[in-house]
Amino acid sequence: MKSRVILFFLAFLVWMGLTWPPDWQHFAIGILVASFVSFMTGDMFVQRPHVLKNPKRYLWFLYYLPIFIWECFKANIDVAWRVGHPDVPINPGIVKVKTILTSDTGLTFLANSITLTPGTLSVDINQEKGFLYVHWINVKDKDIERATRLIVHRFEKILSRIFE
Amino acid sequence: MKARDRGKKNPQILRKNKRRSISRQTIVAPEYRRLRWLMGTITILGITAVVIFYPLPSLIRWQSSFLMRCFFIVLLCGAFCLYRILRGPSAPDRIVAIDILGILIVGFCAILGIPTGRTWYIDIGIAWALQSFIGTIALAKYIEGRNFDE
Amino acid sequence: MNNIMGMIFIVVGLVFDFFGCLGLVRLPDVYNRLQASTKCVTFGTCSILFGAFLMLGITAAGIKTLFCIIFLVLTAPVSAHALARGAHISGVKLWKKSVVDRYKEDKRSNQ
Repeated sequence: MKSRVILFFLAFLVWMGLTWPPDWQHFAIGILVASFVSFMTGDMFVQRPHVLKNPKRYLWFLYYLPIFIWECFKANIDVAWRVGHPDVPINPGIVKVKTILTSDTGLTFLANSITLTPGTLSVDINQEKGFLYVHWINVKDKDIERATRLIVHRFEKILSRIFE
Repeated sequence: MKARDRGKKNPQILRKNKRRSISRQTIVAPEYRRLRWLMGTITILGITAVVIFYPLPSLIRWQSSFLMRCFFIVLLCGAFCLYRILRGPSAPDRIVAIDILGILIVGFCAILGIPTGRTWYIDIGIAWALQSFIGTIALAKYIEGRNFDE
Repeated sequence: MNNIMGMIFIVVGLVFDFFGCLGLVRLPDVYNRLQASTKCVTFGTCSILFGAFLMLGITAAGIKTLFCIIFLVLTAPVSAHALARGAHISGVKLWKKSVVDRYKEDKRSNQ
């Protein structure tokens, strides 16, 4: 029930954003559509509603955003340099890293932020053992521990505070 | 049973194509690589300069005319994607290029909406992003050799 | 002022788009192409959309560009991940000079 209410408010917010100048007709139809959507797909979307109550998590998320955007910008400069260089200085390979995150949302965000940061692309996840297979454009280390320290540790601490 | 068959058939085709592409690449001697890079850079910079500075932008409404010229750079990126679609050695290459083309078109629609004053182009961009995401996921599942309902 | 800022964002986005598509042509193998193009083109398109938001202001179209940015950032890495996984399972090999392939080793040891 709680997850349905949360989904209802989210869907309603998105609807009001898409039909921006606020209006009574949009408002009424938005309530109808959002209640229908939350009735149909409510139990799939939010599995642990108690996570959303804690205000600390939102603050950590706000702290995570600028770090993520800065890393993303550095990644783009790095890839643009590699592509524009005449010799294409790449040294690719698929390495394996460990993670301590277990929840679905946390793993999804970790994989997405790995994909959007310098030279790394997540290929597959093994959720039971906590392994991630990462394609690295410039392999600095083949060892699991050191690769984990280089790739995952930037985000893992913050993400474990947000989603666990 | 079907999925297994597909998984068996695919690698042979892909491997054949890949061998051909490698033999094509090794024809170029390494000494000429820098020269080729220089020529390519000059060509691309020349094309961009011609697109932006000829004919000279009018000074009165320079903002909209500048944005109009920005389209041609997006079209150049689209031409690169089309090259990869035509000559990609394997099926995943082509799917990657199609995915990237979809994201490019979203940006194209956003630029197109501003100087023409028709802001519904951005609605087209949102719809295109949704469709291309679903299409890419479906194609990825297809080359993986699985059913869609898994 | 907002117009000039929006133009700067649009030009930065165009440069990154261009480098991403150049990577699609120059790099040697599916996974490398996927890396360059996904990162650069996603960031470039988000930058273009943010520039469009600055130029349009808070109007109907401006808010739609913000929703488009959120949607792209959430979905582009997911599709890249699905494509990389599908390509590896369907048997596309890595580039011949690549260093290590743990995924293949683990798949072999499981079978």
